[in-house]
Amino acid sequence: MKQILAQCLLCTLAIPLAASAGSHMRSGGEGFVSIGLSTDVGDNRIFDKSGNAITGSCNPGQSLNAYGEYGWSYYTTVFASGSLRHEDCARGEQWGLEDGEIGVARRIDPFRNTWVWEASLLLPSSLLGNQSSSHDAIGVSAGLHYHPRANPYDLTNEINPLQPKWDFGADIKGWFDDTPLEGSVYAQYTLPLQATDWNLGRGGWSASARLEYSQSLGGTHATTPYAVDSHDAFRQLEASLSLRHAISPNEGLSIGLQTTLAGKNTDGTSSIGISYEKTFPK
Amino acid sequence: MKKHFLNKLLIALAIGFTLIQGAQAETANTSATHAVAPSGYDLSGGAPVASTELRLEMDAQDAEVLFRKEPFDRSSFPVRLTNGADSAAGEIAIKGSFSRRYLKKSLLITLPKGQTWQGHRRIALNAMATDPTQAREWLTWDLARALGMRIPQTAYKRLYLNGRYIGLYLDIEWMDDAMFDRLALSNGEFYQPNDNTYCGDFLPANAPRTSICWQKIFPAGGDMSALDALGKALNDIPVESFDTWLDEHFDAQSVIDWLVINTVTQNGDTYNKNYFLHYAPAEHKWRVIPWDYDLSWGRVADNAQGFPKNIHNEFFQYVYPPVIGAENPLKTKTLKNPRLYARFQARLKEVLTPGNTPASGWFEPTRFQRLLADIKALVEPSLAQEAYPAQQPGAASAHFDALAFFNEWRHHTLKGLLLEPSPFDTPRWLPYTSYDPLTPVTPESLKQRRTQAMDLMANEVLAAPGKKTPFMEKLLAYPLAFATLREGQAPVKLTVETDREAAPTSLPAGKSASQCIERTWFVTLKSEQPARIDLQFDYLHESSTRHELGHAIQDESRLILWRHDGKTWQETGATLNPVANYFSVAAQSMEPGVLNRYVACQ
Repeated sequence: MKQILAQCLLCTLAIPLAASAGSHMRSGGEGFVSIGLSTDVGDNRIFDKSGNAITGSCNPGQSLNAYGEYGWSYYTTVFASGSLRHEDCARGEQWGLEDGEIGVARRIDPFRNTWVWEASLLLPSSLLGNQSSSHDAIGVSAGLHYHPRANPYDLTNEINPLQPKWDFGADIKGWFDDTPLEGSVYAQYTLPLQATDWNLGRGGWSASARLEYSQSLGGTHATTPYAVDSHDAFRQLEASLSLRHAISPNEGLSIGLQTTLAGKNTDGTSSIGISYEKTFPK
Repeated sequence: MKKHFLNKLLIALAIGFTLIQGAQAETANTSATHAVAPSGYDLSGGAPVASTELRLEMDAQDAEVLFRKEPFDRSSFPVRLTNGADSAAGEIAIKGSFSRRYLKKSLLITLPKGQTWQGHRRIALNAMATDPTQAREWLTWDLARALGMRIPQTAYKRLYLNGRYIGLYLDIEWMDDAMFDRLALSNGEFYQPNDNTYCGDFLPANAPRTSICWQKIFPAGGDMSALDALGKALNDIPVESFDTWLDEHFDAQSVIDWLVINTVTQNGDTYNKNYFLHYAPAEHKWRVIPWDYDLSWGRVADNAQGFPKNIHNEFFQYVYPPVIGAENPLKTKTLKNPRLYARFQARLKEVLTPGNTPASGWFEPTRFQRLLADIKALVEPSLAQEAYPAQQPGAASAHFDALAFFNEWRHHTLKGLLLEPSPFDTPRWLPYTSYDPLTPVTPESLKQRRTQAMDLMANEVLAAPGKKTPFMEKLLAYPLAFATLREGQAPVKLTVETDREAAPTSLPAGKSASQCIERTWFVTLKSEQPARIDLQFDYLHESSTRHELGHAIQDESRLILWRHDGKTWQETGATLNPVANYFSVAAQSMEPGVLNRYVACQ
């Protein structure tokens, strides 16, 4: 079974898009951590080489996900993610580290968090002896994020605390093995449902919806009904929904749902999860 | 025929007051381009208030990023302070809350432990970007100092960064152990309401939320039991014995002086935020230190608008009573206890009346205008050179004039409202807090325009030429106008009436009520000989829901004051300050017994 590079689903959705320094960029000295627990739901679904959904043989698995960011300085934020996965498939139950990532993010415009680029090292769990990893060597990723926001110095218009926000991004990944490059693009829409007002002791609520499309850039054609080899070409369209509640000025709780809407040679199992996040101001 | 409906007026005013009670910060007008009225207040010829230079050096990109980055980023950057001979290295970061939304940022420089710069390890520089005059904070601290309050040292600093002039800043001494040692108040506990939650008001509902509503600055650790005990006592002690309790547990004078400052400056942005509490174990007493007055002195929060327009606006008022601001038992019980209220009145009288103490007559208009002229002499040349100007060139002049207007009109308002005998059995403003609103206050009702049509009248005698005389409506202590005899046989009897918040019933040809201020001024000379009189009139523009602007008025600066002298309508040539909403008109020829009618139209 091809193992898609583990993503901290609920960590991604739980990144506060209105954080003090903006998404992906932290103030110098500021830290952020998100811990989440997710579980597969429904059948072990796989999209075969023709895009047909078929049922695999695994029982629902669970993941413990961790994501962190730290403002190394005003100009550079470092981030890292990792997860632990429990699987129960034909070969038996097993726990194992999933592939991890460590990277840096920087602004393109030195004054705004609107455009952010990032570069990261992809750390396959095979380095720790995990045989189910898709990759045998480390990889690198380069990405670009776009967070369109109003000019914060415009005082002529009322600020609507329930103003929806869009975020966009794209990245490309490559490994120092013979697996194909991967590219992805995403769009995320966040809708505040209730404004935060700590004077009333009230943390706000927001809902997010995200669509992400990924595919291999090259790769061999699968010869079996479903992908067993990470060298095979794949594509997938994933959707996720999440609901976040601010439980204190620096803490949030999120629940979410992720599913693969369509794909080829890819895992299509849905999952739900919960995550807790905390910001550590400087 | 004028009518006075006393009860109706009081109830109507109570409704209006209840709706503004709890109003927070006031406004900043950073876009005014209005020229100062030539016959406004003469603030020329001042000797610049003292200031010193502060020179910083930083990486060039850091220097630009510091001012232009996302407002709520909390990064710090390396910085070097230098005066040519000496230097010190530290970190610089942005400080403040709403003021972060201006490019000219307030700054905090922190030096490593063990190092100081001119005796201080931290240098806090207030940008004053929200105040077009850059005077409000300095004035308030000067008043607090004159009252003898134990407060930080403050001074104007001209800030240079990498040789570039950034602007005028107010250096406010950082409140740490060093400051409290200087004040002989060592080893205490120090608290501040949390600016993000603004619930530091000691109301019972917020008692379980001390850790959210307050920050403990020192000593380290989360033990807020002393503050919790203070909050409980503030709510438990009855009004009747509050004076005894306050004298025992507080530097009571600091509380009274705080209330006097808030009353003089008309500060509503406090009592749940913007103040500090220090507990001195040697005295077993708490003490108030006031904080943050840039958005007071005439500015008004508009509850009908969302952020930031609720505080970044052009509204103006000068008549609010002492209870303005959030509810807080420390304020309420001090003002309701008769003995403490008497001490408050005495202190306020000291500030309003010339005498032989440092605070005597601090707010008296002649003295205040001299002080304002000195500040203006420093600020205006600096504004022209600032790196990140928060207002258009020349706009400050109208705002300085507005401050002078605020001082003069509020001085007389406070005298009438708080010090002069009242026809009621209570202070004049207490009915404001005694009446329940006749209509419920809801978020929807806050956005609806409210009018309180009133006919008010005042009779005064202009005793001598050149003496400016206020015309105060005696029951409500409302100033209606100021008049100065320019030519004529003194004494001159004059009557001024105002039909307020009602469309004028008579207008110049071609004008419609929607183009005009919803106020008519009537002036009648009651003496037997003609006279020429200078007049000052104001109108209401307090918020988006409390104003007298006809709906067709797009630009207040285009308002023209007209006069009907019993024969014809004529333009008066009056000058207007649309920041303070007042007209000055010179040398009005008055004939005995003739009713002169004034209206203002675009």
